[in-house]
Amino acid sequence: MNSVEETRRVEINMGPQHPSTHGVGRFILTLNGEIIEDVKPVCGYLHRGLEKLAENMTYQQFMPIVDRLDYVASMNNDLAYCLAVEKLLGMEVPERAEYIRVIVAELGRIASHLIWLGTMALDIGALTPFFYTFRDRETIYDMFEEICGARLMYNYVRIGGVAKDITPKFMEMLKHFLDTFPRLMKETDGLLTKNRIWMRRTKDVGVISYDDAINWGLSGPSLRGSGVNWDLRKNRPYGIYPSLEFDVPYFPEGDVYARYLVRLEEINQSVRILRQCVEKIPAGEYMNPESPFVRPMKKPKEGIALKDFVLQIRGVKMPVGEIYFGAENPKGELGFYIVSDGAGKPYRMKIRTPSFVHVFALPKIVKGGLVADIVSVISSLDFVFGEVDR
Amino acid sequence: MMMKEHILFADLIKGLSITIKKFFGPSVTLHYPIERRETPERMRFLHKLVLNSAGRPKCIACGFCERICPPKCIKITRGKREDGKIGLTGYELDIGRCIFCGLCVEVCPEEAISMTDIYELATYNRAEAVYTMDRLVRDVPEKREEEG
Ligand code: SF4
Ligand code: SF4
Repeated sequence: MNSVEETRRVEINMGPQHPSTHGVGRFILTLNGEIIEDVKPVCGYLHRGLEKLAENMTYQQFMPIVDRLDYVASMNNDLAYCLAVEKLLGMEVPERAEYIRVIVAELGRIASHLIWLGTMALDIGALTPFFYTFRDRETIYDMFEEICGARLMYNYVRIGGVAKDITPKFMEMLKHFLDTFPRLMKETDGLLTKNRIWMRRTKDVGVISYDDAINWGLSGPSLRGSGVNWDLRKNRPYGIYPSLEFDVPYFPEGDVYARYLVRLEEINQSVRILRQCVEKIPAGEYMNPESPFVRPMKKPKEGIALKDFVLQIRGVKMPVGEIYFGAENPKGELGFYIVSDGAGKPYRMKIRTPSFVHVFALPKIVKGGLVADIVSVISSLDFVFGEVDR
Repeated sequence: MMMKEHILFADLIKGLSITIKKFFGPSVTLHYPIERRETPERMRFLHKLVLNSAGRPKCIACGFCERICPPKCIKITRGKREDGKIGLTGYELDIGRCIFCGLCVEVCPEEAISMTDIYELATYNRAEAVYTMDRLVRDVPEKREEEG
């Protein structure tokens, strides 16, 4: 018969339909009383085979699919993918397009962090901030809808620029947003940051040390919550980020509260970047006219040439080579590794998603902790299962 | 212990003050479907086939949209039309599969297909979600009509 010691261990399935696993994630917990002895993340519930899909699609066709990785920050995914393909092509992007890209990417970052803030508060038991953050997120989605016509799956940033120019109405909305949002954010901040219950639920919970955070491959805000000053926008700059002023917040504690503070401060920094962009945005082209992905046959009068047919059937010929490009997404480093054999479709595309890495660092963080804390740790790592399973 | 409870109470007051302020503030939500949002110009929803001056779809059946569509939800049939010419005879669009990426509109050389802002596309069965050429021309208005 089992000894007393053994009967006390309980295996619990957390998910895949658990409200606080942020998607369809499943974790098998082994509990000894209230202590977590082991966590086994099980992924694959949302697997859509995106990497394989990429091999059968032209670079342009894969664009809308990239939106479906981290579905709460689609703009940032688009940007990372476009930058990767542009790196392969060695293509330049007009300056106005660069500014538009930074504007939408930072708005996307704010939107993603707002969702995270709302759901994390919800998971820990504070219902109110959820409504306020979702209200502000709606404002951002309205702006995105104005420029590209979709609320969640934008397909807006394109190889060589952006799909459409921003409208004057968008600029107005953006200015209004920048005027009102910091005040609204302060409200949410006031509700949580110094709140006693909040601090007790998050401080010294789910600690991961500086070295462990690096060794487990954490990136983005989760890494900076462990005191590592690492931001790809600063350390491996791309686009016009080097010409913009912003700080990279990092806190050395490595607990849930530190990760919370990092993201909160990042929202403020994004607002700062947006302010500079609104001031500096130049006039000009929004798309590189030489980009082979520009609608090449948009001339009804001249009829369709044979080369258009060839282009449609085979896709745009790419240079042969391998590239890796990682961009700083709201969740962490989103990297695309593309192997091209010169055809119009990638030979192989590997997508390095931050959420995947974070999910598998979870056992390291929560082992030995209390079962009640796992929910706040999961929220603080901020993973999205669309990205984990791709 | 008393002290701590006291401080918790202060947090509560802070939260409640925001709640009360919002209670008397303007409302954020809409009473859908009685009220509806204004939709921007660039909305990407249900497709519409554009007609030419002769009242026939502009589409020349080149098949670019069919080819670029990532989920492959467009089906074009070419053949002999009633007027004896070879051309488009059928255009089928499965809205149930469409991801509303807008690539078909962008790629079209004749601007024969456009997107409207009709977003209420739920159906009771899958067969209804397939829009034939006839429906894409006839049933889709240029702009969503405001219901009174
Ligand atoms: S919007 Fe995209 S998914 Fe829908 S029919 Fe057009 S190309 Fe296909
Ligand atoms: S791309 Fe335009 S013209 Fe060509 S088949 Fe599609 S709708 Fe018709």
